[in-house]
Amino acid sequence: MFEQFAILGREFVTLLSPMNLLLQFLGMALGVIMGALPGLNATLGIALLTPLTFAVPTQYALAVLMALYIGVMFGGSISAILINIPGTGSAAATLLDGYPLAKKGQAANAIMVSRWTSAVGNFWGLLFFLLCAPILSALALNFSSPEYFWLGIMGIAVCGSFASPDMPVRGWISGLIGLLIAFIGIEDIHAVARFTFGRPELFTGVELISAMMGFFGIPAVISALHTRQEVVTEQLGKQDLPIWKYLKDEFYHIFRWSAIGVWIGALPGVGENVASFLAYADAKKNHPDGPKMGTGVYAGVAAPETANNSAIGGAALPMLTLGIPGSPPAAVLMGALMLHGLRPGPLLPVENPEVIPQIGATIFVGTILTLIVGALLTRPMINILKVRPEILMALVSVLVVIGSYSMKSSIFDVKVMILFGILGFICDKLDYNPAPIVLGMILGPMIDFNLRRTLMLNSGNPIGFFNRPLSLVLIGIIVLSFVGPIIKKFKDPQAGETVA
Amino acid sequence: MRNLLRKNMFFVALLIVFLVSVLVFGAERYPVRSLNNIVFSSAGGGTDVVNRFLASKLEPILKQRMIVSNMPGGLGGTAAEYVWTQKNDGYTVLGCSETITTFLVNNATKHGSADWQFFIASGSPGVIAVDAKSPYNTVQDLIAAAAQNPGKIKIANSGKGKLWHLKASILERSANVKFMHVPYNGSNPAIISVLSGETDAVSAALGEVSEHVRAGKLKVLVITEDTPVKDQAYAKVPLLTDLYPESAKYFPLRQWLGFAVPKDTPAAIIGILEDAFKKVMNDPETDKFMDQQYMEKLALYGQEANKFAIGMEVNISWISHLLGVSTVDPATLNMPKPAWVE
Repeated sequence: MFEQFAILGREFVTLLSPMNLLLQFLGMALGVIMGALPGLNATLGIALLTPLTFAVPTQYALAVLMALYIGVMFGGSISAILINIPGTGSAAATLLDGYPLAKKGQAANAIMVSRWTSAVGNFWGLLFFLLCAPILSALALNFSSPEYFWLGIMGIAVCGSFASPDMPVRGWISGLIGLLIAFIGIEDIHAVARFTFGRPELFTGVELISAMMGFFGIPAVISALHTRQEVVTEQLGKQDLPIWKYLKDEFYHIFRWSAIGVWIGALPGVGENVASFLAYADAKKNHPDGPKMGTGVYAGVAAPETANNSAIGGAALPMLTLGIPGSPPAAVLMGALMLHGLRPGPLLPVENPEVIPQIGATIFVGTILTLIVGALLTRPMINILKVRPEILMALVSVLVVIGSYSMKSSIFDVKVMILFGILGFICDKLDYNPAPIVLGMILGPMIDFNLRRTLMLNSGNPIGFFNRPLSLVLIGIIVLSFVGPIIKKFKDPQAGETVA
Repeated sequence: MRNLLRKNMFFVALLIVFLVSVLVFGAERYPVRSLNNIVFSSAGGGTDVVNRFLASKLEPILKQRMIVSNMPGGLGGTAAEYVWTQKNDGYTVLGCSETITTFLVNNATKHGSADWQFFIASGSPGVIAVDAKSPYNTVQDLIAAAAQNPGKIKIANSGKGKLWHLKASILERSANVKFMHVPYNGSNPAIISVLSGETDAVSAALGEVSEHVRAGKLKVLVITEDTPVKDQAYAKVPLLTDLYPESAKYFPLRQWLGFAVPKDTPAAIIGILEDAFKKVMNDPETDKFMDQQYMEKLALYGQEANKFAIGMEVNISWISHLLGVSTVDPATLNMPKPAWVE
């Protein structure tokens, strides 16, 4: 376990190479800008950048993408505070108090609180990540085919019930749609082509990154074009809050919000957006300023910003050690890792022992860079926020086309991207969360291969799924996540809405 | 008028620069930018390890970087198709293994061995290994158990139709027993399945199991080759062809690792790559690396490499077909029937 920290130290030193630092700096700056610009979020940002990282060494790709992820989480708060529009879904809770603070002329202070709590949240997330990764990796040898199967099912069940809390069945339907999409292509055991209509382009399955670019990019473009928002930027005001004292006084609460972020981040497919709302709700209930929340108190900015950053460490953990992404951005990140030939999952520490410490070190550098880049970019951001979304979205449209083409130099993937864009738009309109679909696409092959292998190993007898203790634990969690929302609904019909 | 002349002067100058650059950076100058090595399997596997080593050795000779990236999927066909769709100018190479010889018979892509120019570096001998605590101490124990419980002894492999599956199938056929072949996504998960007790044995490369053998977690029962292993530690382990002499007809059937470029790459470029590859193969550090990895140096390139690969493609395709593993009949692929096929 302490070995982990020694490796981390070594990886941290290599991360200090000028090239790596420059890349992390750029990734972070891009992340903060993307986060601040309404319509662009971490998921889309990572998807857009992934094709560009294909030809560079994995370490650099990781550095850029992780820095971007961290940057977006902070960037979202800038627009929430200054223009009353959340830059990303994860900052939607921030504006409830951030904008009133800006109205009072305390925007600069609010952004500073957001910056520092983001960094602290990040740090707690990292600590959790480093402490739990070896434990989960040690469990890896206990995972055999039936456990992998149940793990996949658990991912879909848990994600479904959290992604659409007021109507979990929609989440589960989305998950199943994702599973069905995952079955397209040559399957792993007998090399039989399924649902390919004889088209060789589909033999390798639906290109995950193209699909995600369509899924998250096209609906963003459409919604930016059909709503017109007048942007009024508030004044920054003076920056005079004694931040160290603030962090010291709020230590307990910040830790609490970090824990919420980590926990929600670690749940499959449930990301920063839910984490920030839950932390906000917690602050309302337990923080001394709770009753004043909504009128412009710092706790209302600190809570969601701490949680959405600590969720990064939480989301990266199951993605790397179990192969189950904890949030939609982590899902794209996982796609990017797979593109680089890594296989996130219990075998990752065996096959590529350097990756987990590398990601840990990247988060650590990102924590420091949040403070530096955040401070540098706050002032120019007022001008960047004046960019009209129509212009921005034209850029995004070009990027998704180029990005999906460049993956395999195939125009077919561009068509896939557009098709998924339409699907994403329909989901958006019908209020189906795309996160479980993406999760289903990622977990599909794992569920499929291990289901059939377990049956093979037991000569077709389904008992193999139920006769191991770890399987039973996973089954228990699955049953709970199916039954839980129903009981909750039954006991308290209002419960679902507070989570959403 | 003077203005016009000046404009023309500009174009003349541009033309001269262009012509000079064509002369300087023309076909003779290769490589002028970094190369991409697209490995068709995951990072950390044998193919990846060898290609990363080759890249590090080729870089100083070619005076350009060789960036190794992995593109697993579709039995390796995804990467092969990708390399084919790139400009066939020697800047994109395919990091590959003997699995490329099973592409046609498994319908992974339409580009068989004849479409590539190979640079074959090395290969590791095949073994069948069991958990150190397993009741089977010899291959005879394993065969006897399989004879008593037909279809019950589980043998893990790196994927259906791949070399290690075929090697286990040859043992099965020669001993006239029935195993249960369990496919995994690569050799690493297959080896782990033995360690976790999910399967009874694994068919894989010695290089991939050797660390576990040294750690006392696995024991090797049989070497699935027709020639002995160099390492004295395995001198007592029987060869497949010693146990079953009639299985010799299936050989040569061995793992090999290296890279390939599309066959229609300009001959001059292939020549430059061959010279560089030759130098790497003669480097004493290469021998050291191979020993560490339990690999044997093959050092094949040019005509020789292609003869080797195409010969193995015919062999492996027919074995696959005879063992009922593959879907495509090699006869439909214009592959001549080897003499041993009844």
